[in-house]
Amino acid sequence: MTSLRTAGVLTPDRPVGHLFEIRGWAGGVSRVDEVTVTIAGTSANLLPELIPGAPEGSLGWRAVTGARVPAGPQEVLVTGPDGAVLSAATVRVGTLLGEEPLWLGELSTPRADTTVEGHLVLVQGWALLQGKAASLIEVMVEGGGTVRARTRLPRPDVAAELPRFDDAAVSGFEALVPVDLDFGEERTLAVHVRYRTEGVGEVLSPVRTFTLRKPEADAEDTELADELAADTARAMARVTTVTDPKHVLVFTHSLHVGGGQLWLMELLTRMVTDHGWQVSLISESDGPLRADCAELGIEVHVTTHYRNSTVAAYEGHVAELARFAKCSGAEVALVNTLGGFGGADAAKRAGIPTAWVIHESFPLSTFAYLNWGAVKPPPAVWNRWQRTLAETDRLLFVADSTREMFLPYSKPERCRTVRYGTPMEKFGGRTRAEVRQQARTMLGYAPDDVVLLSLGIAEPRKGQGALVSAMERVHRVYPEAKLSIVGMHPTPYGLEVARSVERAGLSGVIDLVPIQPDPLRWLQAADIFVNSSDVESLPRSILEAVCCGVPVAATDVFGAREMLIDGESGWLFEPNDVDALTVALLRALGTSPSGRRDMAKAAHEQLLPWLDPAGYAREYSEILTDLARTGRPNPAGEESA
Amino acid sequence: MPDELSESAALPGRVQAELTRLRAERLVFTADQDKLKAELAGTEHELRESQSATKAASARDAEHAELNEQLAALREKQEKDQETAEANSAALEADVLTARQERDSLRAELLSCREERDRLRLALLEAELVMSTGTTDLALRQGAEPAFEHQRLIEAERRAAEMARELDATRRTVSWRVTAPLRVVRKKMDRP
Repeated sequence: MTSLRTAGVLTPDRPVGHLFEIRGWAGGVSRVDEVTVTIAGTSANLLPELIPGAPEGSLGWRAVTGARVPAGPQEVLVTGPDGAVLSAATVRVGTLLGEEPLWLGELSTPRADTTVEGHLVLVQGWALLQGKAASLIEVMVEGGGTVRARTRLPRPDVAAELPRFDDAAVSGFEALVPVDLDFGEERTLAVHVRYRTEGVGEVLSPVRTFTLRKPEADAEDTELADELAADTARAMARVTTVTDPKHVLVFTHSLHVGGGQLWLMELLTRMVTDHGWQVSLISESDGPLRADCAELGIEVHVTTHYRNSTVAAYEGHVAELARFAKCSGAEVALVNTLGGFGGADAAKRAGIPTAWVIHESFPLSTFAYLNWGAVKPPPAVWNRWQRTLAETDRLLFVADSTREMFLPYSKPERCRTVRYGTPMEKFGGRTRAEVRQQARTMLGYAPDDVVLLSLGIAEPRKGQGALVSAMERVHRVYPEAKLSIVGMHPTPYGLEVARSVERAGLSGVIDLVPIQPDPLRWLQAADIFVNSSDVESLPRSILEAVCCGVPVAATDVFGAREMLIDGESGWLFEPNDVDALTVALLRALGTSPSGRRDMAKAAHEQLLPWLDPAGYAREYSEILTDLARTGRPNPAGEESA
Repeated sequence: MPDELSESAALPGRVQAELTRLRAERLVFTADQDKLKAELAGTEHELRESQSATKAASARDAEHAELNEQLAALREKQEKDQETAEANSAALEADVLTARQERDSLRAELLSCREERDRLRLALLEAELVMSTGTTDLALRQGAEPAFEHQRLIEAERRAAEMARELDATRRTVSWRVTAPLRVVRKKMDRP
């Protein structure tokens, strides 16, 4: 006698979670384990169970998922010993509208009930909301306010754990939350995290408590710092030199090609050629720009990185630099970047009036963490940093927002915003039709394509991952939209962005382009420029896009909001929020070509007063001339009349 | 003198001696008188100079006093100006602080407006997707499938057909036929 095998699946009448059980029956078998239940392609653990209402003679079973199942409709197959499918059903993994979405994740740091040492709280983890990376993750730390975390960070470990979740590989998030504590103070704080995606819902994590301790100031360190500073002061008093009011000593961090360095080279070129300055330059590291300096007749001295790790090392390096500065013959100093406080301190000790250019829109604690770690530099050096900010004759910023951020460290009359321009100003805010056509042809774009451009080295701060997620949604209603991400390189983040494009099936939509020495062609071909960075003081790429007549969609941060007016000369959106970025792209793509041209024109008119680089070079020259004339501080540290 | 000599020659010797002495004294007195006159003139001159110097000093004192008054007035004015400047500066700082607070408050309001706008725009996106493809982005993100309920219905129909086929196959099996009389008996017993 042959026994006919049959099976049935009792599908749940509502969505289920990532781990679930499902029941059914099988007939024509003597044991439950003769059948196999596969859920979303993976065998489930099968257990015998009495199923009321099952056909007579059949065996009831309960299938338990062995691994988490992604959200969405998932197939359940019951197969017999010979592999024949006896029954099939569909189960929906998810939640009903209005219910709290499914959440998977972990808050890795800070760990509960532990003590963290530093000036800020590093909040890290991974999260999936309904099986997808959340659009917005807000971290709330008591005493530190609410900070939007960077999302779409690579998490290969999570991807290995949840191989069927596409977004698991980019489920990481991170936020740095500065908390204002005194040195040596410790405080128990609470952190909780809100995960949100529009249309899916939000989840608020439970509160976690931990203790933050700010490093204690070492009295011996303070004493040593004062003693060594006094030694330097005595040494400086023994030296008398002849100085030239048209000679500037420049401190910079690097001579490699990069945004800050190129800005400086452009400035120095104009100061030498247009304003007759003699320049001596001290750099923390060597690089190809040294040859450019040589061509301009700029003397270059390459030193080491500023030695901030101990008081003795710091004071020693500053003393050496102060001696160099004193003997340089320069009447005035110019320090480049926030990390150059050793240079500013040295110039001050050498009695040279100093202007310090701060491009970075980071709080000191964040800057220190990113550059030197959680507990560096030591408190005595940290105090020098703050004192140098307070005593430097001029602090120069590229955006008013950045100036406002640093005002508490200085005095308003010492702080000034000098925005920079770009040589691309020569394009006059437009790209000729034939040039545009030529560029698009060379890059392989069709005439009907609407080309979006992201320009910047691939890194979490620039938000290329979020841009890919936004495009995944946008291209379904704007199939003609094509995105070029220029600035790719094989870092873990860059590689994960590339894999995200593949996973989303967007290889024909998103073009990933390596770092380009000259991205002009992409600017000429673009219809919309997108800046998705979460921190930007004065993005040069936005200036360049405006000069080429490309309308800009940008995050509403620091200098960007000083460059564009939302809805008039560009589209602004909140940072670190994929939903907001998606809407910005929809708004830009929903604007007619003539509307986009008007937008670009308005942006160009708005920025025109400071697009010419000759303008900021002249302003710097005037500031330095004025400092050389009036700014030499007397022993009390105040400016002479 | 010759007259005096001729007269004195006529006088007795004692008188002559007295006369000589008186003449000598007169010379001394005259010299003293001249000297005193010169001293008096010098003193008067000094007195006059002194008087004029005193007058000048008085004038200077008056001038100094005036200058001091002016200086005091200037200092007072400067102090007042400084106080005013400090007050203005404090007021300006307060204004800036207030303006920044207002700006931050407006920014928060803007943020909430943007969130609302974005929510609506994304809802519109859903609608656009439904109209264009029949598939909603939201449904996919919610973990649903396109027209989930419809699919459930199709699935149920498929399962019903499958069950019917299984039942039919069962009926055609030997065991079904063998047990047929038993089922007839059971049916009869179940009848009221």
